[in-house]
Amino acid sequence: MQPFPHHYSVVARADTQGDVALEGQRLPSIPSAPPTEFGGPGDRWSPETLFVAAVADCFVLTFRGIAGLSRFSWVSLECNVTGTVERVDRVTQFTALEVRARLRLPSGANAEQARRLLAKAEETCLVTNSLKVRPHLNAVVEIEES
Amino acid sequence: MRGVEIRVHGIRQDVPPRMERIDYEIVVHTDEPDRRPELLHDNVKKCGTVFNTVAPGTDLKGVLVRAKSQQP
Repeated sequence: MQPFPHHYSVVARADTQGDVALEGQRLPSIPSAPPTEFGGPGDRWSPETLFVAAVADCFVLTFRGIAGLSRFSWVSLECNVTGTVERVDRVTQFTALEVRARLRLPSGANAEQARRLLAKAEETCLVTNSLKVRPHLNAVVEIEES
Repeated sequence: MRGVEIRVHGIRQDVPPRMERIDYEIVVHTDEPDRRPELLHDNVKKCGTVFNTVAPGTDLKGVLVRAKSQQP
């Protein structure tokens, strides 16, 4: 890992109509548009879905890093995040983040340690640590039969 | 307004892991008088769902400027 602090840069470009182009160095461009909830087409990534995706992605990658440091064996992790947008005091914002994680372990693995690592991943997730709204983690751990 | 370009730069701190600061620059292509782009910036800050979610948790600051080719 490179020394801190890390710097991340993104450019968004738009004309008065059409998609917003999201660009980053050495990254494929992402076309973005408002979600259907805000009158958009619904077939593009939007600020809202990109935000929720960042939470899910960060959780999975943080777990992968922590599990690696702990030499913990696991098979797969699926993270399903639902964000709730509400208007509070005339301010539209995410008010809840429900993180549903399904972790699959190999036969004989320690489920309790897995739950601790999932909780640790939630605590140390860069994205959610940068927010006031706290995520709620609902984790399911499955162990493969031998 | 004919177009907009937004440059966002985030700085990550190590312990605890979080975004220490996020800076942005909104470059607008417009011939509107100065007060109108300023009003646009105020409204963007009030109405952006992700902006309103991220702002309370980190140092989120930025400016709105006119595209250079249009400045006097």
